[in-house]
Amino acid sequence: MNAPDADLLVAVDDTGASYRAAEFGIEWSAATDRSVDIVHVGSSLTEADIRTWIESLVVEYGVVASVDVVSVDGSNDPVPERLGEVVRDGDYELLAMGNENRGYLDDLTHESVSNPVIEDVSIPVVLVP
Amino acid sequence: MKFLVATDGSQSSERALEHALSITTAADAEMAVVSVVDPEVREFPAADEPIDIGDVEGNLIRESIDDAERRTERILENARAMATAEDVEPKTEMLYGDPVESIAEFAAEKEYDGIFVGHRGLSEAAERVVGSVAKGLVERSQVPVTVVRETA
Repeated sequence: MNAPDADLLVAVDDTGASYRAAEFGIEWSAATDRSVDIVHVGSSLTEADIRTWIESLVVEYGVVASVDVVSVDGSNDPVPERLGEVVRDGDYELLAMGNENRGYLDDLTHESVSNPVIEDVSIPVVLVP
Repeated sequence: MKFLVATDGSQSSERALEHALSITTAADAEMAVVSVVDPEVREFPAADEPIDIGDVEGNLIRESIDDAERRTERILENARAMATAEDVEPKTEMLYGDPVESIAEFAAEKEYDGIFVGHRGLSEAAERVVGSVAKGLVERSQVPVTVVRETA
C-alpha cells in the first residue's frame, strides 16, 4: 500500500455502523475541507465495491469531498492490529470507525474491534454509532 | 454544527479540547464544554498500617460538594481560556450525577452533533474497577464520539 496522505482515515467493514462512519467521513471532509481515505479491513467487499459505494455517497450528499479508497494486504493478523498498522503507516489526523452498540451478551461472545484500537493508536478515534 | 467537549481537567481532556477546537474552527461550528461535579475520594496517611477494611475506610476523605463544584468551575474556566485563545467562545455547563449518563443525556437533549472526550488508557484490570467514561459514552451516545488518548 502506498503511504496515504489524507487527514481522516475511515475504516469500514460490512456493518451498518460502517456505512454511517463513511457518511460521517464525507460530511467531515466537506465541512472541514480536508481529505479522507477509506480503508476496508476485515471486509468481504472488494476495493471496487467500496469505491462505487463511496462515490454514490458523495453524489447522494451532494458534497465536494476529497475521498480515496485504500487497501491493505491480505493478512491473518487480527483486524485491530492491521488497522493500527495502517494508522501508523499514514500521517492521519483522525481515525473514524463504526461502532455497533451491543448488549451485554453480545459483548461476551464477540470481540470488540473499537476497544483495542482506542488503546493502540495515538491519534483521536471517532466512533460512529 | 455544534460539538460538545466533556472534560475533567486531565491531560487527555485537554488534548480532546485542543482537537475539538481545531475541528470547530475548520467547520465554523459552535462548541460547548461540560464537566461533571464528581467529588474525589482521597486517602490520607494513617499513623499505623491498616489491619482491616474498617481502618482503610477510616483513612478516606470524600471531597465536599462545594469543593468539587469549585474545582469543576476552575476546570471549566481553564477550558474557556483555552478556547478563547483560539477565538472560540464556548458555552460551559456543570453537570451532576453519573458522568456517562449525565453527559450522554445532555448531548441528546441539546442535540449536539458530536462529543469529544479524553481517555486515560488504564489497564484492563483498573478499568474493570473504575470504568471508562469515554468507553461508556461510546456505548451510550447516539452521535459520534471522538476519543482522545493521553500522550505516551
